[in-house]
Amino acid sequence: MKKLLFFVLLLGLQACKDPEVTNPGPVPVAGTTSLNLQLEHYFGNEAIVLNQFTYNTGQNTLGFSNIQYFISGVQLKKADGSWISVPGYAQFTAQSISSGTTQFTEVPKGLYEGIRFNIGVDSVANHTDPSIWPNGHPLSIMEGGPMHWSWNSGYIFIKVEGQYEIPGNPMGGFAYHIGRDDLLLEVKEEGIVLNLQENPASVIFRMDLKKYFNDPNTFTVSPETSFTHSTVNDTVADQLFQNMHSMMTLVAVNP
Amino acid sequence: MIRLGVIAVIVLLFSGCRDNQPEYEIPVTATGFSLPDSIRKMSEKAKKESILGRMLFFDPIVSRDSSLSCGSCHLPAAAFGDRLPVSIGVQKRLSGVRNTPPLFNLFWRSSFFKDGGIPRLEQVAIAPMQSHKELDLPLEQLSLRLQQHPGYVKRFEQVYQQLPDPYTITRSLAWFQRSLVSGSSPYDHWLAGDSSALSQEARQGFSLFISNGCAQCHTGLAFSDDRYYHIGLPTEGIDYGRSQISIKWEDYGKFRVPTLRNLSFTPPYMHDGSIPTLDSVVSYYVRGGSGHPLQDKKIKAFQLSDTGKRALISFLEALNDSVFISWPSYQPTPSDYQD
Repeated sequence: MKKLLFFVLLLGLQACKDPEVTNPGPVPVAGTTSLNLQLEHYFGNEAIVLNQFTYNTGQNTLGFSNIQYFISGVQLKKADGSWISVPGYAQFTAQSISSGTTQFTEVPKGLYEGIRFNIGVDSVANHTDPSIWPNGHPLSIMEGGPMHWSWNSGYIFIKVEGQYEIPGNPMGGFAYHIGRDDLLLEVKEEGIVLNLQENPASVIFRMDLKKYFNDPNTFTVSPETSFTHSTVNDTVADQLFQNMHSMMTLVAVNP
Repeated sequence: MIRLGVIAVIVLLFSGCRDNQPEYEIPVTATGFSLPDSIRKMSEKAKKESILGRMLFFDPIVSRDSSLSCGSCHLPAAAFGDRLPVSIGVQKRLSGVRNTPPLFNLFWRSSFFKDGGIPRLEQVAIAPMQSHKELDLPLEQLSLRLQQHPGYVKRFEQVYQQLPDPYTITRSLAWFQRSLVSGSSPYDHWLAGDSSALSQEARQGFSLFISNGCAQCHTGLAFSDDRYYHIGLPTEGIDYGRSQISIKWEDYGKFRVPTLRNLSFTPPYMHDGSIPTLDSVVSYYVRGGSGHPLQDKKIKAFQLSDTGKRALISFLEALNDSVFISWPSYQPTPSDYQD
């Protein structure tokens, strides 16, 4: 009996010990696999090289110095037509490379027929105190500080920045910062076969910045239209947001 | 004599021990002045956070070139505002187009900034730090800077058991600001039953304040209904006001109703600091504003004699809280920085 009491006491003391804190990294969850979302950045048929001043929209010649955006709200379509959510946020920063891949690790295994996600941040996260996110989280100020509008409690969903030239005029800079709850872009692709029954799979999307400046609105970068902070009655943000609907296309699903 | 000396030494020793405890108190307020329990009975943890917040608030380490602190534009003697139309940021840059708001009784607020763009006090510090026109040191950079500073590392670990980071920095600054209580003006004591606290002239001014409709918007103990109005000042091309946040055209040029407490310490006035004296502000409203097409319909001209005007200003001056602006716990405190 005494031994039993001692054993129980020992167990109790063990429970009181501080757990060892380590950073285990992503933990595979039973019944889940990974989805790799790859984003390419193109101008027409040409992969964008940053800080190369060669992209002609028809109205301007442009160079890009920064393409940066959030991905959130990833969902996959099941055969019965319902959508399941894949948790997680990602931030793409194309400051040095023209494409990037992010991995969502908690994807329920299955065969899917569609994918959708947002460019931007859902309204709940958008209005959450950004300092609560731990370092390393895509929404952390330590990661995305320049992607947060400190004055209105919201994230910049997508930044496109660079330099422009109108023939016969000196070069100028442009900075388009799109964000606001009503400017969250949904990208959706259905009628695909995305096999995540066992192994990870990849989905590749292409962002075409030629369309960002041309489809459907023909947009000229000028001193008057060279920036936006997505404020009220902001025609620059509104036109570019309309164009964003045409800029994303599915390239491939692997395997 | 020797016995007295021994007692004195013991008292001194105990006084020395007390220095290790947080000495942070909010000012005594007039009876009946409403405070949330979290402020009225501040926990020891909240006091430690406030002391750490005070340390950061008055330390120029928070600006890019270490030239300015939060307290450079939020001066205790100016009720934590300043006396400029628009404050001056790092490298003498104009900090924007809005007058620096005073800071007190923030626990009554449902949102922050003149356009209500910030929903919680913990986020308030992010904008001025990040703005190139103000402190110009984003929080992530301030975090790294503080992590190189042994004094701050030690204090953050004492209070939060973690290093300085955006979370702990914003918590400590928020607590210092949340703890700024101003509730000891002559008006507050008069409300509490001290009939001698308000002069006859100020009482007459209070009647005029009510009868002329000022209290429609400047209401309650906060002297603000916390809503947004266009008061007739031109904002076109300068400041979108509330519409920048609500994305509604009807909010164009609207700003939150400011409190009327401590006005004598915080000239100039209005959201843009464009009116230099209380006398001029009263004159503006007596005239019925500017007649701007977007001006709120509540603002109408009214008759006010010179005597009445003096009385109204006398009442507004009775909302000044001289205890608040000189309260020791709210002042820059050199011992905060001693290891």
